[in-house]
Amino acid sequence: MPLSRQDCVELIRELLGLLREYDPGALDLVLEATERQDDPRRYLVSLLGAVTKIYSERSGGMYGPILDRVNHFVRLENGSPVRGLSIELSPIERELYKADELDLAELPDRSEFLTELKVIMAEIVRETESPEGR
Amino acid sequence: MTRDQIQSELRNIFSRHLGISSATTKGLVPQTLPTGKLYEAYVLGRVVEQLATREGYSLYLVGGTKIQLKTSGGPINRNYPRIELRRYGACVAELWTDIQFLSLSYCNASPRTITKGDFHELDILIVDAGANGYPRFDQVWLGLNAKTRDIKRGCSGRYLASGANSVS
Repeated sequence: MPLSRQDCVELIRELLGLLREYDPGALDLVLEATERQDDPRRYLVSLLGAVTKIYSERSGGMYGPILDRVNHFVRLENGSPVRGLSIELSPIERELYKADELDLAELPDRSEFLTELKVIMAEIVRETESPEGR
Repeated sequence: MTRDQIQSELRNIFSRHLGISSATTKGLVPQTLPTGKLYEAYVLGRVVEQLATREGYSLYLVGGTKIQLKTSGGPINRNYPRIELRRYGACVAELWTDIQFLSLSYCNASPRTITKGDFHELDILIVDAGANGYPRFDQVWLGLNAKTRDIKRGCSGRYLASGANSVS
């Protein structure tokens, strides 16, 4: 059965609740990145779009292909490949987190999460765009 | 799918994939920290590809074995890794990441103490070979900001910065 406006309101609540429970830091980013919509169906789809975008930005799944590309065109002076990509922390972050850098290779791979979320998103779009769901 | 089925599937996806990671993967470092940095690395990859294939530069990472991005910008520190752009074996320019450079208005004004408003910060900056500290605006060959989301703060250095928007 197509999703009604009320169904979408419930799903928005569920999604925000899950983010609050599992990743409160991401919740803030998602809300900031989501365009406000009056129509809950559109808002739900926008929210899911923001979730996928934010998690794809920090998924280690992107790391390998990026390093491969860099190594295709950049070499060390001795001809060896570039060893990796990292984020250098600021002095205060070093003190806080007791680490000098964050190796991007250590980021969790969110590829499966993103794939499954995109399936759900496609389903929601299909259900909200069907004539009965309007 | 019904609403209940979608709700249940969402709960499953979150608990299976996000349930343990944030606490175990990288100690105390918040997961929000790398947000955007992977995209910056992706844009960097595209830039070096174009520099090599379209512009014909030979590219070498010097000063380290890893490319280092930073959580906050600053001046050029030559103890850090950078990518040299070489032509016929000679370094003609250097690519740095997360660098602040001096603005046109500061450089054109009478000499005075540098304040925060006299800088622009860009994620990827190509400057004259050998530049040190805060490079002048006229030492900049190319500057890019790699942002996947709308920029809500003021956009600086627009006259020479190219916005690299998400392609995902």
